[in-house]
Amino acid sequence: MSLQSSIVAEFAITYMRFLDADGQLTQDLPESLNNPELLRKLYEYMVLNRTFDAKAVALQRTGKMGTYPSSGGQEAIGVGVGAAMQQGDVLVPYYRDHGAHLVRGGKIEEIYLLWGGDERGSDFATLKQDFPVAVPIASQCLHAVGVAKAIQYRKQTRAVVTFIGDGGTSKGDFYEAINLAGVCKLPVLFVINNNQWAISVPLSEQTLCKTLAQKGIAAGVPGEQVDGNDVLAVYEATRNALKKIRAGEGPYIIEALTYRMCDHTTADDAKRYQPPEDVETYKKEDPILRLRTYLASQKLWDEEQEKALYAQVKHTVAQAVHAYESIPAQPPTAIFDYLYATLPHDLIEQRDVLLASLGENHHE
Amino acid sequence: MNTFKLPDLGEGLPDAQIRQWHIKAGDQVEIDQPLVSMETAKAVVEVPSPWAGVIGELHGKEEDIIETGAPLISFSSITSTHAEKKDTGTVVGHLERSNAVVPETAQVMERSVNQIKATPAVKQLAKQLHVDLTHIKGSGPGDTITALDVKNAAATTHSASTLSDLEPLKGVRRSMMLAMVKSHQEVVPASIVDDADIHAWEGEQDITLRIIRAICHACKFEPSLNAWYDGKAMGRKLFTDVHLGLAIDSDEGLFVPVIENAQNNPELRNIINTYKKQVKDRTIPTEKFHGATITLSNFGVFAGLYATPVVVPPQVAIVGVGKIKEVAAVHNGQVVVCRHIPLSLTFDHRAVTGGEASRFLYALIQDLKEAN
Repeated sequence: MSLQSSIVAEFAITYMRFLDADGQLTQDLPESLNNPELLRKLYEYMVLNRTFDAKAVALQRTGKMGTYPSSGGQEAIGVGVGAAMQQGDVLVPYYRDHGAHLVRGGKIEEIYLLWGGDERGSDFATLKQDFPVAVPIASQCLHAVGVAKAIQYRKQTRAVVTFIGDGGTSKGDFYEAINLAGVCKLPVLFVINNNQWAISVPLSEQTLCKTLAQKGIAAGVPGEQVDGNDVLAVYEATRNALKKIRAGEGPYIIEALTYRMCDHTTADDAKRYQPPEDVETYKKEDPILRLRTYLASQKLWDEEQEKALYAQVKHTVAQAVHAYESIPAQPPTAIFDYLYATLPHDLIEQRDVLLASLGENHHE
Repeated sequence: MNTFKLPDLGEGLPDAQIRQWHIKAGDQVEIDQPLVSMETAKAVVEVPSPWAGVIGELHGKEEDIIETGAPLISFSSITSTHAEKKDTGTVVGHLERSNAVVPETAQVMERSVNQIKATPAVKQLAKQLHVDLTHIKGSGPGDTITALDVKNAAATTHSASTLSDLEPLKGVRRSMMLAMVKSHQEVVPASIVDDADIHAWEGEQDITLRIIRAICHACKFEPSLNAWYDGKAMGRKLFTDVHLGLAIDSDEGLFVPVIENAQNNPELRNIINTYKKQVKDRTIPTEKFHGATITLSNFGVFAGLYATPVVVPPQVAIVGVGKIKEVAAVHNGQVVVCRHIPLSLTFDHRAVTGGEASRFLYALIQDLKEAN
């Protein structure tokens, strides 16, 4: 006797890209991307991302900054997502999406300041409602859900965007966040930077899932996978998702597939575990190179513009370094200044002890 | 002269080793140009130039270990900088300047460290003033140690002044330090001593070769001393072949190259001579220092009869040989003058019993007594 059963639900995860590794179109561009200004802007910010990022590593190596997580080779994700956001949307970042901060108008020196150990770097000059960088893994997903709940409660048409790495999607925080976002139909977009490495743990040892976007299915959250090295695909997927989210259709997941072409942080050495042949393969997938090839083929970019851009970006980064190094350090007593409106008695005592000891040691 | 000091290349690293210089004195360099490859506990990293200018002096050779905050490169002139604040070689907050390896590992040994009641700030102060908190009685509430206690302790000892201007341990001397600290933390040592009477020896004999032969004989007789012990896994591994670590003293520090298959090696004397020469010339390959199953220390060249030599894990035994002495001994009821070799055996009592050690020493002496 054969058992009878019928399909009650079916799911699929789609993959999208516009530009292949050679900078050739794989399909016609939609209206939204038929915009030379936008394409040039995406290119310029990816170059800025890479340049400021390389400088951040150099600053750490010369003792001028602390541990820093590079976004080398993954610029299309931060820049593509950030460019598709509206100013009123809220960014709840983690530590490998600095491109989104930049393209939204955030300052480079704010990033340097934060990774230089100064929390004033999170006091953004313009992006007052964006969140500080989350260093603990996956905690930002829950913060994003909280912000989305507030936006929903206030009946605003804004969206929240948060980022997470492939390793982070194994954490309970992530599953709890997408579950609550699904149940409450919250206006939040989860962007997964799947760079295939969680420090030294490869994706194959992270999950049995074929895609990370499919993790949303169990929570009723739709999603898709895009080529994370194609900034056009990242931009278009984000733009479409945010449109639906702002229209009240609930949360969404974008898995941007890429490769970590850098160390996990400046305290890591990826050469010890990344297979060199993988690194060679993904070098050819470079997001900046492929967009430049495409722009040049469309006569939207030439050698002169390229030279001018690199000179401009170098100058911008040098100015940011100057601004960063010119900011005077906070006094040691600053550790007492930001938690309480009125400092409790025992902390006043500790502050006095600190002040007294500072007085004694000021004979250098 | 502007000096670039080694920054913390990771997260709280006390030092880093020079792998390869990419520049030399007199070179003109640009900002962010790679200057040197440095190896830390976790990574090999390229250190870029903080300034554009001309290199004056390199403060170390390849293989040298540089402490975080110590001078790395001096520039004889600088043509361009980013807005300069004075470079202190520190990163976030205040980094400890001292080499953290020694005090931190040594502290693990002090049981009472866990019972120290002091705030992190006071502990930091104690470190700066070289005050050992385990020896201080706290005057604060609940016997906590206060900053004043630490300052008083520092004032009553002269440690703070004598401990400045330290010569850092480098190379072989540093390796010795690390091996000894590890041994001190792990091994439960016990020693027994005895003499081997060699009056029966016929003619001139190569003493070192006789001792090695005797050790191999003893290892066969009592294999539990020719072994490795893993304290974490709580397991031992006995060997049938004897891979003998031979302690060789030098001005640079202690070298212990390994003689493989010492039990039936016709080339023993040649190998020993080669090792001695290589140690003197500093050309001995590093792979020669691995794999010893037991060690011989011939410490009594100038003076010293008995000792408690240090077992280096995972080995479980070391044989020390003192200065050969003439003694008045009793043979067949007669007092005669004869030569004795003083022997000291230290064993790791976690892996070896006293009985096994005693049998090993017995076999060692029996073989040494043989006429040839």
